[in-house]
Amino acid sequence: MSARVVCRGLTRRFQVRERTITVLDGIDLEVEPGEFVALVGPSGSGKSTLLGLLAGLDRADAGTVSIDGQELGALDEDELALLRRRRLGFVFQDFQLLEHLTARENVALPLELIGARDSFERADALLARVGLADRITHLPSRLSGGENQRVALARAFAHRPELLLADEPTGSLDRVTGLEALALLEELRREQGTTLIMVTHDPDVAARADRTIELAAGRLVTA
Amino acid sequence: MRRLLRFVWAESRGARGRLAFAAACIALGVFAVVGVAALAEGIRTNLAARSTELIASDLRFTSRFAPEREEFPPAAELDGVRRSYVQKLATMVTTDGQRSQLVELKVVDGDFPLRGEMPLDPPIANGLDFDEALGASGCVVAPEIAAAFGLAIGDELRVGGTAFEVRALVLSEPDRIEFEFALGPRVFLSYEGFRRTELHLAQNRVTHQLLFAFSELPSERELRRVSHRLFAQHPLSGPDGLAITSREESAYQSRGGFRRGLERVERGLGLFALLSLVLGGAGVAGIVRRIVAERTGSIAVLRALGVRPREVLWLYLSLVGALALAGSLTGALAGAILPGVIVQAFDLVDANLQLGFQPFAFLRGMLLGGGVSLAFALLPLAAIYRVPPARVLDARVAPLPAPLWLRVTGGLVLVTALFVAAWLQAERARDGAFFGVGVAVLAAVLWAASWALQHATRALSRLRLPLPLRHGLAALARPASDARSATVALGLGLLAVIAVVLVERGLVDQLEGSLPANAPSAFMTDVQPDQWPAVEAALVEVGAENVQSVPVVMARLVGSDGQTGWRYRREQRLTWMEEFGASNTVIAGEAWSVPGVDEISIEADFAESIDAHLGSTLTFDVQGVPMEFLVTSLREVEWQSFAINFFLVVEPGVLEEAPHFRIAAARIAAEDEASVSAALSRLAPNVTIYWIRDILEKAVALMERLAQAVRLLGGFAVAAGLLILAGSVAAGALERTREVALLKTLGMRRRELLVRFGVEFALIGAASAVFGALGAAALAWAFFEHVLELRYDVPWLDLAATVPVTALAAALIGLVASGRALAVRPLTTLRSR
Repeated sequence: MSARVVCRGLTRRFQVRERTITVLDGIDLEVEPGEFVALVGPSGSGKSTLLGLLAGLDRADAGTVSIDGQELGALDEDELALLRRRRLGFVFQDFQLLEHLTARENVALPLELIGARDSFERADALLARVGLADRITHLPSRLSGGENQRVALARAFAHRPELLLADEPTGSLDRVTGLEALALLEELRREQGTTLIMVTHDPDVAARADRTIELAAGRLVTA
Repeated sequence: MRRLLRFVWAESRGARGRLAFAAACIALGVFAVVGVAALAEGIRTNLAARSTELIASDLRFTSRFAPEREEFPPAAELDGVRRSYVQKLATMVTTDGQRSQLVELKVVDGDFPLRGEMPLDPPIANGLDFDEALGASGCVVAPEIAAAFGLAIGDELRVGGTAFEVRALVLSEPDRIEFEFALGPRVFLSYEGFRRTELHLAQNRVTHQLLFAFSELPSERELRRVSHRLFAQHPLSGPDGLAITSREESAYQSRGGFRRGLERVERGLGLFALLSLVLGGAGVAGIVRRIVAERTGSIAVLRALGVRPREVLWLYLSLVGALALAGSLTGALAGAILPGVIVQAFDLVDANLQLGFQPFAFLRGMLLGGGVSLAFALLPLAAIYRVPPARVLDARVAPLPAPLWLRVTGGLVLVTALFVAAWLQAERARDGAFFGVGVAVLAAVLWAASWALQHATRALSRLRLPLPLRHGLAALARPASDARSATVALGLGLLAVIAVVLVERGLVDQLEGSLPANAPSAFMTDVQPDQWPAVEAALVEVGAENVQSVPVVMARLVGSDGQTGWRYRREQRLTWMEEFGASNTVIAGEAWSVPGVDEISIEADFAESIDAHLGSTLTFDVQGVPMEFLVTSLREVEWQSFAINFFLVVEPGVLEEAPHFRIAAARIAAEDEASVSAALSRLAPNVTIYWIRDILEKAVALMERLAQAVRLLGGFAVAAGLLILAGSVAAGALERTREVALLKTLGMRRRELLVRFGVEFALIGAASAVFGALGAAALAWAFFEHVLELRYDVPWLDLAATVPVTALAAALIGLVASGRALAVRPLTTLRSR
């Protein structure tokens, strides 16, 4: 299963003291099911803000985001939470693992949220799949950066999301480890047919995407 | 459920130390609450189980008037009823006429006790009733009497001048509770023996009891019916044949007065214990606030993964519930065991009391512990709603506003929980509200004072002070400091305990120290008119000062201005005198100013209580003779003078012919007390001497027992305050660790760090002590000056001593709680950032 994402006139502004800053300005975007789209652009161009709006973590000041025709602006906070829980997956630059949960518990979390009975077994299988079978009871603080990102990837794919949103998933890893993580991400995405929208600074990473979208000063440069 | 528990268990990781602190805060409060409730419940259960024993019968009538012996038999109308007649009074005993002691004499007629055991050493011979074993010439005494006079079985003891043979020692009495006030140890005589002493003539001091026991204890309803038949249809008569009032107790309501007293004490101590629990709740709130603040990142991740805010709230509420359960269970179990420990360790209560596990006290503790924890945690948990899920992408995203409904609900839940908890403890809505408002007002005042202090320290920290002191002051003033909440909690605990100590000490000082220099040290009663010259001469001979004596006529006030009713059917002591003493001030009217009328002067407050005023006519029954007196003056009496004073004084020349006795007072040097006792036991053995010092010592000892319990509970409140301080230090361990790492990196030595942190905690302790002491002084002053209307001098020096003591305790506890932070290796910490 994979999702189709459509944005129309997406605008986001922030109030900084007495100034209004427009971070995203009328973005129009369509991402087809199963597509891998790389979002690139300089710092402050609005990449992460766009990702937040696509995930329903933030609200647009104007415009719409819809996933498979379901407009996110029409959903309340609880409905957005359920949407993320069931259909979306995330990978972050700084992993965003829950520090007090073990690797297994982190991966099992999305499964438990959708009520899976065999959440731990599936988490263990996924961890084995990403090469961490011997690290399942470790806390994130006892894992290396690469291992943490592999746990994060396992968590992101645990509940077979239709849309995966990745925010510079290799940003805090060295080149070799980063490429390993990326390979794993692509492999899992292909297996599950997940739509992937990834924010990245790295041109090599962007080159592996089906399509690259560039943002500059809150506007699309290429689509 | 299993999944939730697993979530809770996982979520507690990394915070278990702090959660344990929070649980300890609750455990301490619940321990105090359950301890008080279990002790009271235990005593109540014992009273109920031993109710027949506690009145030594199934039904007991108590009266100040003697029943006519021929009237006693109405009970004979009932088949299988056993009965006993008991008289009690305080009197003097001696062995050699050299030394005497005040005792509580109990005169028994019939087979006493009708219910319960009264073990004697040696036991009574088989087949004999207790009064038969005593006979006309025997007595049974408490072991304290035997020890005081060195008596053995068969030795002689003189009661009211009459010799009795000691037949046995009474080891325990079913109807005597150890912590009730008693003027002296017990001596038993038979009715015949009592008549030999002629003390029975001092009827005004005798309490009479009629006891009945049935072959089987009737139902409560049946007992009430029997009681009505015995008492209401055959009213006991006074000497004049008038029906008299009597107190009736059945096996179902025995020790009513004691029970009421117990309940009053329980309510007071229960509220005191609740204070510890409320402080514990404040501790939970502080720790929960810290944990939520630290978990902001995790909460954002949970929300990004699709967990709804209310699900996160439930998760954390479950976490608080778990810690509340652990804390409450620990505290309740410990508190439920407390009564047994008290009985054994402190010898505070009747050794006969069997105090087992009290399920209701346990449940009350669990309920209050859980309720208070959750109520206090709700407002800090509202911060969960402020975490924006977009924080996972950018940590600088501004927090969301907490929903108004949650803040309002949290506030309402807290206020309601406080009120309900106080209501439950006080058993009265009004007292519960008073407690809740009182705690809230005191906490608000302490909060304001802490706020002012924090601002003052900010300014002070800019002065050129030694580095550790400057840093300690600056740490107090920093915005994220927990100093304010710790100061409020510790200050509130100290305020409570210091206020109790001040009030108790003030009362003891009033009892012991407020006697005027020439106040009498002894009172004598039952001095017969013909004995007075010899007694007076004996007092003068030993150099007694300020010797006074007045005649007393017993009479019953029957009515005022034609009104009658229960409030007028009381026995009163009348005297006559030409001039009132120095401690009397006539505030209205003029005494002995109306010729041809029998006049009376009344103490003003008493006049108000019987609705009498100048010009009223009071009707008395003076030992069978009806007499009327016109109220011509009202007086104010300075009772603290300890001089002999009366509510009712009649003009001279009216009552001189009525049967009367004299009471006397004198100031006798302590070293002459023994010789005065000896002289009086020879000259007037019927006279009873009350030594003020002895009575005050007994009253002070009784008060000390209660104060001990209150101080113990106050100690819990202080401990809760210190625990909160330790908890807040532990909760902020992460920040503190980073601070220590940085200071170490910059070259601060371990000793300097200890001083730096020690100063911070000592300042919190000192500020709490200052605020607590000032608040307690204000409360004590208000209590004495406005409630008791007594002058009160605040013991400032003693109060000042609490400041360094608390500062030191706070510094030590704070440093212990910072132990891990202080031991940190800077490189590890800075790398981990």
